[in-house]
Amino acid sequence: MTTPSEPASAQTSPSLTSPGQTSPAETSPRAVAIIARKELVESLRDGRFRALAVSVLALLIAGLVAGSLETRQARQAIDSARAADHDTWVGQGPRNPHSAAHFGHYAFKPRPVLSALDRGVDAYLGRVVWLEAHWQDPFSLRPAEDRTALQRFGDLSAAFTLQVLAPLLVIFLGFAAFAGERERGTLRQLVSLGLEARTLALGKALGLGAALALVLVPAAILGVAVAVVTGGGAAASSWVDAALLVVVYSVYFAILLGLVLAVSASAKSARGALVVLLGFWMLSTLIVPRLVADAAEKRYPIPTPRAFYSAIAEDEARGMGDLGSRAERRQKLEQQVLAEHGVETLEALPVNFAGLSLQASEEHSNLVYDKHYGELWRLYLGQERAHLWGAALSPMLAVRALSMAVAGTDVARHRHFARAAESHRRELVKFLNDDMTYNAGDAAFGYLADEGLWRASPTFEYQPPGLGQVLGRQLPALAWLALWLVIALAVAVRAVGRLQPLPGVSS
Amino acid sequence: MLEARSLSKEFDGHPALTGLDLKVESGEVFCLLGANGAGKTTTIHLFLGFLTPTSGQALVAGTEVASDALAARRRLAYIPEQVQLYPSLTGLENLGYLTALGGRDDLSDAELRGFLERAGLQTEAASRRMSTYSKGMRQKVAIAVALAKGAEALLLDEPTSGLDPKATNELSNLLRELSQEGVAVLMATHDLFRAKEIGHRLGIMKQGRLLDVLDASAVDHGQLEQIYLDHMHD
Repeated sequence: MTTPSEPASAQTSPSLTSPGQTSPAETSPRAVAIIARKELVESLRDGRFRALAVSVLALLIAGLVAGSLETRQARQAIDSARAADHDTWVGQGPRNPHSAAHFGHYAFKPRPVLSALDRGVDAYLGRVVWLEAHWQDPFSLRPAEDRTALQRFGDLSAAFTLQVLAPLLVIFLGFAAFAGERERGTLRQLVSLGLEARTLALGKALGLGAALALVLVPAAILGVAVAVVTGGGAAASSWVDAALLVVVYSVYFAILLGLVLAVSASAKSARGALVVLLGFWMLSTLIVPRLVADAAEKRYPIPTPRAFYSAIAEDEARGMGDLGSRAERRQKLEQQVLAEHGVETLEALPVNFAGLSLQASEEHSNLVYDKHYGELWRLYLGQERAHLWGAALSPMLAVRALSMAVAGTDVARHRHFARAAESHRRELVKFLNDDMTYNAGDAAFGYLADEGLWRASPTFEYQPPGLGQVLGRQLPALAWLALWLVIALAVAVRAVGRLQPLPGVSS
Repeated sequence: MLEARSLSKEFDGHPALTGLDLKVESGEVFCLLGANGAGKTTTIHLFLGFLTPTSGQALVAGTEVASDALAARRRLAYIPEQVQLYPSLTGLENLGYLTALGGRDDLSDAELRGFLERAGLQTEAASRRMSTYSKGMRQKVAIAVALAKGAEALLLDEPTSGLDPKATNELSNLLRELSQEGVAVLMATHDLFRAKEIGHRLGIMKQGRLLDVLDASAVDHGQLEQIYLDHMHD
């Protein structure tokens, strides 16, 4: 039997304590880096993470490449169609200007470079509008109309992957960050070292963030490269937009990471944390968006095309306000013009009355369209605002709104283009009616203009809104995102501050 | 180095530890003996600050654990019954990680290997992943962490449970060495034989109370066993 020696003197300095030793508190940033590195190494050595990361990366790349190719094809098709449309317009030969106004031409909605990332509502609202006299036509070329329900599931854009699927990667990366360590017993080992909980949390957040970045950064670089190549070289504004999207999605993932760490720190078990987080994922990415869409549709019901155009036809026939019916309006105009020129018959007018009458009819139609399309846009934008209220339960809805807005594929951008196209239509029709008014003389509809007029007619060059304007409209979405970030950080700090190193024990 | 002053802990109104008064000096090995539920592990968890006392104080080098757990933990090393480390990291990586977080991020791989060797881990095992380690090997890594950290006090919770005799003997020798170097050791154990062999003083606990404190050199194995059983049967 061995007899233990007497206790060493209490004043003896333990020989195990090296003179150069530093305390963990003094090396906190260094400790954060050490934890982050270890978390990254562990993630990379985890086959489940590798498999999931490769899957998400593959989906992202596939979405980006498919989106870029589609954008490229769409741009080529638009360029080609626009050129053909121009050739047809200037080559239409001698024609009465009002007939030319009916002959019309197309306005093509440009495809922004970043639509390769986020196609937004583009496929649902249409990409081309026919510009003609009297009619503000609806947009056509809506790919969504040609899809089967099954095809929509296959429409995996990069934005969908980032908004809906990548959060699963964050969840699987982090659900066991604290709960798993507590179950395994490694958390008590860490805590017993004298490590501050916030150092541990920060290190884990950075390590998991780095693992996530290993998946997302290559995808982002590839996405920008593909977009630039297929977009024929991005303008400086596109780089700024792309950088902003990177910030938006980074904030989104920071929110998710904060929530994941908070749940993991608070949950009694890793399995419990996973169940809670998957529940939140389902709620925020699948259930809330669906419920909000239904609620928005009920709150702001869009009229059927039949009802919409019937209401327009009714106002056209009856006349807006007290302007009277079509016949009454024509009679009033005739009297007014005759009085203005001091003549008694239309034949005595120095201008062509048919041209004036057509333009007056056009201006009345404009009032009708402004009323009905104004109401339609109010409903669309009301739905968009209603969707954003869902951001109270789902940060994804705020991110989705910002992503579409910055990519230039949201309802507001569509409306901006539609208004510009309509403004051009009115300018073009007036130009043609004015030509008839002042140059047709008595020939009226027998008057023919030539190529010179077609070439002199106004051309349509769409200028999209600047980033400031886009973000100005998205202040509510930015506010929701900022609020979620604050909430996620606050709950993470609170949960980590109450971290229990022992499983199933309340201190 | 370690001191408990009227230390008590209740869980949902049920006492787990009642009025513990205890001092473990530097260089002393104090073994807490008792059946399951005696309060041994609760005592260790209170010194680590994993639990907050219902009343009384736990102090490490004069620092009250409840008021500054971080400062107290920096002087301690803890070896639980089941040492759990990171399975995807090697023994050396685990040691490097934990010692760096314990404040020693200045150690080279060679120095870390030296600590593993001193803890009794075979050299070739250092580069293997933890998932291949036995319980005894994991415990040696935890001891190496304590060595590298330069802990002033060691808290061990049933360290010999499940170890083979050779590993148990190696652990005993190492604890004696550390004691001679001035490290205070508080060890909770069921193993009367090892406690008598390693400890300077032996505390017998039952139902959260410290019933008796014996000078290990004043009793032999048979006497210790008899005293222990007498307390258990009271």
